[in-house]
Amino acid sequence: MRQKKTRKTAERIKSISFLAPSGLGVLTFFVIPFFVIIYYSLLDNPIKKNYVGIDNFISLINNSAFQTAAFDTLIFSVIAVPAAVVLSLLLALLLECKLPFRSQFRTMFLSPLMVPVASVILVWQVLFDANGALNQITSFFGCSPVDWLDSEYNQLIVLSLFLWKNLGYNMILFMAGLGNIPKDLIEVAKLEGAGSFKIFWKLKLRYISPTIFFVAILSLINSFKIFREVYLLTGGHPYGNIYYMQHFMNNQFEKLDYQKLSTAAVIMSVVMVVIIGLLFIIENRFGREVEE
Amino acid sequence: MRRKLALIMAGILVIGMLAGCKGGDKSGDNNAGLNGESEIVPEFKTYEMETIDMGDVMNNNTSISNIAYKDGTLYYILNSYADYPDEFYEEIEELDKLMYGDMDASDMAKDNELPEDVDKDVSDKEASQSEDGDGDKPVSNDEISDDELLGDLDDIFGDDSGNEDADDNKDEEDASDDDSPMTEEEYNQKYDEIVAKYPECENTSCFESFNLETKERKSLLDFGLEREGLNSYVMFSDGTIAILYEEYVSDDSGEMGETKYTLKYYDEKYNEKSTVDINELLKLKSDAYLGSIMADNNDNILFSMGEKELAIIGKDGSNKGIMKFDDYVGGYVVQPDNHLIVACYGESGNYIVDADIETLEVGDKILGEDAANMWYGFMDGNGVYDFLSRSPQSLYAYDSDNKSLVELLKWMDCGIIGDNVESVIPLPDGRFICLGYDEGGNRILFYLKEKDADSSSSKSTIKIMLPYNDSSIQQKVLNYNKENPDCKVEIITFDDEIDGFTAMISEITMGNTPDIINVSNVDIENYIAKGILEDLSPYIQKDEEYNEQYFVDGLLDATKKDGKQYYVMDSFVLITTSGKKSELGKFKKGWTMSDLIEYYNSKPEGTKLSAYNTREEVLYTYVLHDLNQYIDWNTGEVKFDTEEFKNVLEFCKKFPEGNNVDMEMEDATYQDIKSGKLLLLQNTIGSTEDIQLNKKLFNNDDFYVGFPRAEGIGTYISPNTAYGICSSSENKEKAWDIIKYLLEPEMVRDENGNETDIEADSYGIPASAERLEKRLEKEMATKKYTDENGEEVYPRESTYTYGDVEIKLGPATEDEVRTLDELIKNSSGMFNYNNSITMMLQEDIIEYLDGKKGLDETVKIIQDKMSKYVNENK
Repeated sequence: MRQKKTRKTAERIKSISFLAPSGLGVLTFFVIPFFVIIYYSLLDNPIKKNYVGIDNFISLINNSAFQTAAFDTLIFSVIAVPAAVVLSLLLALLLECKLPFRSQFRTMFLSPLMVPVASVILVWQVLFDANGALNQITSFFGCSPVDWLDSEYNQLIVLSLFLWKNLGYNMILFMAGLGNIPKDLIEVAKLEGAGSFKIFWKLKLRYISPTIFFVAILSLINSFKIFREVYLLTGGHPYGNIYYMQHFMNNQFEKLDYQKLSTAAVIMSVVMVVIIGLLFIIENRFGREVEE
Repeated sequence: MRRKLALIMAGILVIGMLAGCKGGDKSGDNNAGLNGESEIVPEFKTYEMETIDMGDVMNNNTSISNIAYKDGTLYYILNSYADYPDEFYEEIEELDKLMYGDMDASDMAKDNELPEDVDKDVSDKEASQSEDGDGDKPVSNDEISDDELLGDLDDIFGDDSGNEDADDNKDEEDASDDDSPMTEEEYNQKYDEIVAKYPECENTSCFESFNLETKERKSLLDFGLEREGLNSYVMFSDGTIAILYEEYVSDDSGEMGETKYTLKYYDEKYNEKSTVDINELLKLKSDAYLGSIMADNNDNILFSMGEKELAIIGKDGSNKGIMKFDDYVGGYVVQPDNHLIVACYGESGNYIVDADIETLEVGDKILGEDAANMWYGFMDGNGVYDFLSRSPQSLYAYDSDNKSLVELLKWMDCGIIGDNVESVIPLPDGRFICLGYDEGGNRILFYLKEKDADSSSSKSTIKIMLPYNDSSIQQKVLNYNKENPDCKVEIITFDDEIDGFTAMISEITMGNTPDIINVSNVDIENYIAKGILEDLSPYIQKDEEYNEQYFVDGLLDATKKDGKQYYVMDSFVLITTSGKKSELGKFKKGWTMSDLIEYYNSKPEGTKLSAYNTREEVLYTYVLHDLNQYIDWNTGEVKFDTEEFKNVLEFCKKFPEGNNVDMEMEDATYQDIKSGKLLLLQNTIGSTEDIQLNKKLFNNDDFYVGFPRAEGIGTYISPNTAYGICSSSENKEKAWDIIKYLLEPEMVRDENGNETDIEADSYGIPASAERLEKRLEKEMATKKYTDENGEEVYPRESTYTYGDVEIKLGPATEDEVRTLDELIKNSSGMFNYNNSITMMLQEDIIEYLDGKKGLDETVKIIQDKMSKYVNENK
């Protein structure tokens, strides 16, 4: 008994020592900075360091620029994430069929993953600038040139950029998920007279619900990352509805207003925790049936 | 187990031996410089100055340069100067009269701007006042009316009816009538003859040695007049020298020429031994430029050939070859192992390479940009260090083991400003010999010897933070530290950063706060909003000397924010705009962009708004400098989509694009104002002279309307140096004492030991009321007098030229002093440097002005972007 306990302790020590370097890194670069941010969000300014409680949070929530950024981020995520999930699933289903040039299509959709951000920006600028390719085409039909990135259509451009970048990877994930569905179940369903739609809705969708959940979270995270391309295309204060939370936070960082930056970061992380928690609950409910 | 242990021990022994051999080899190869001493490991220490007593070597009429050191003896070039006696100047004056004609006092009076009747009035008043017993007290012109003072301006400037040309022709006729009795060649010959009469006064140079222990001084080589062509010299290992001379030789036409370089070798008795024609030896081009010569450890001579090459000449005068580099050669030094360290700069950046003198091969990069940027400060290590490098802040030595520059000392800690140090020679005992200047500009030679660190640790330390180095602040801090041994003031600067202002505020907001901050030219609103600055009002109110009465009347009120005084300054200038009073006098309380547009539109086509009259000037000077009329920072409301702002943009479009302005536009200023073609002038006012000049330009119809802004007059204060105390400082009282010290002018001692205020006549309005009063007293003087310090004060006399027109200025008037006073009181505080909004708007506005976007579209975009920006900052 004693030997068993000693061996368990030794194993625990061994595991902890192997995990320690990674744990230390996560602690140093993620956990501790997060608590530092919370600390900063409770102060009035970094010089006087007076504790002000939740005053910064109240002030920020009432700030119209923050509200605009939050709203624009929400709208984009609400549109872009479902679009990314649905379109990539449809593509995966399409490529599941025995189509000619299937692998070439797959390569085509995966290639945006390998393109560097600077090149993507360059291409989008060439396409959508006031003197860009799109205006050359529209002028052929008699339309006057439009600075697309400074117009009401810039949201569509950002959405197209997001989908172009992410559809390929999501499609691969769905193809993997679809590939894992037991073939005999589908055969049984077919034998029992189930149609394609019913098979998809009742069978495949349930089986790939973990994949849908995973792709949704990934798309949600990637929808925030689109800030990088938008910032490079349009600057710190873009026109219209492409002014996101990261714009707000980045501008506060440039102005060295660490209080607003920290407060916004804390609010955003709380919202993310809530959303992902909800997704986990939904997945848990759907996925349990599959596991059973 | 034992075997394992034995193997480990063996391994450690081997590694140790190898490390030892490497260190041993290094010291064995060390045959550095002239003295062949072993190296000291570079490390940071604190040093203090100790003046070297060289007897009468350095006095008022001599100075030394190009120092070298060998075996306890200092070698240098001694330059001697002597003042010519009065007889010399009298002879020259007579010669000038013969050459240029006789210009007596009456001719000079005619050139004076004041009409004769005004001169008479002034002299009459002076006479009556002196009868009243005012003695030498200066008399002002305040009782003279403006009309009398100006008289008939056509007499001064000439009129436009053609009489001016007639006057010019008359002047030319007068000139031609005065036949000069001599040609220029004759004049030069006569001049040389006069100079030759006073050989003792000519500048001479000689090469001397001075034994630092025995104080024995020896003159080794007299250069005489050849000093003019002396480039540099080297000292070889046997103590002999070689000197590089240069002489510009022009061809027969006198327009083209080339520099002839000659290398002269001297023996141990300093007799000339041989001469080498460098132009011939190296086949130099006619426009070749050679840098200073340097000797390596094998007595070869090296010098830069101006671009990407280094030439090497043997001790026998033979051409040893040319070392070629990929980029331009900056500085270079010889290392103890006779390798060359060369700083290069070019398109690929700045870097340092190692080069082999024997094989002429250039090696790899060994140090990056930070080290290479100090190439101008490269100095020989004298066998003590591999080499030294000097920056304005510190002295560094190269650590070859770590391939890095190690800081040895900070100049300020040693009691000297880094920019004042010219040469440094390290000694084997750890001291340094330095040649430089003191605060009075006098040459000094001194040791730097290691200081006991204990005494400095007990002092209280006050930190001053500046975005960039300022030598005048450095000098004041040095003086303060010398006078106050119980307190040490440290300066923190950000010269190495791309943007010192951003680096400074980043450092502060990260928590590295100083005690005192230089807030000149910063975004002061941002500093105040972040709570960085302390309110100085309580300190000012309770101070007996530096209270509100100390400062110029109105200055503190003009620079307060929400009733608080966040900074004080030593001096300042006023930035404003002026125009004609007859047209703009109604805008006594300032004007807006709408007023400016209306005013401009009332003028005929072709009228210039400002001197350069480009859309960029209009945009950046009048539109973007103050956008508060379109922004409510409290509510976050922005009004860029209004007709008012649209009108402003349309207004800018009227002006031509003009990135390349030429001087002709500025030369035409006077004529354009006079003809009514030019409406506004931007002014920087640092004295009453600027006000007087403006008065002349506008023909006494000048009015300071200021830049257009939402409310108030658009006249701003631009401080020379403004100081604030950091709100988190733990030594606020001490910081205030130091600020008071820094506000006072820099006093330096001249060669006679007398203290002089070197800022007394500097450009800028003193913030001290007393100093401003003294300054105005001098500016208003109409005749020579002696002030309380025994200095002679002459009436102001200066000339400004606009094209062919010369405008002469004289003493200040009471009216001008009043104008200055009003400008200060009505100013709108310190100009706030907020580039963020300008950068954000200019791209969209320029696209509109270029025709790439429509007006409504542009305004909509700006409204949206500014709304986000303003609300972010609410």
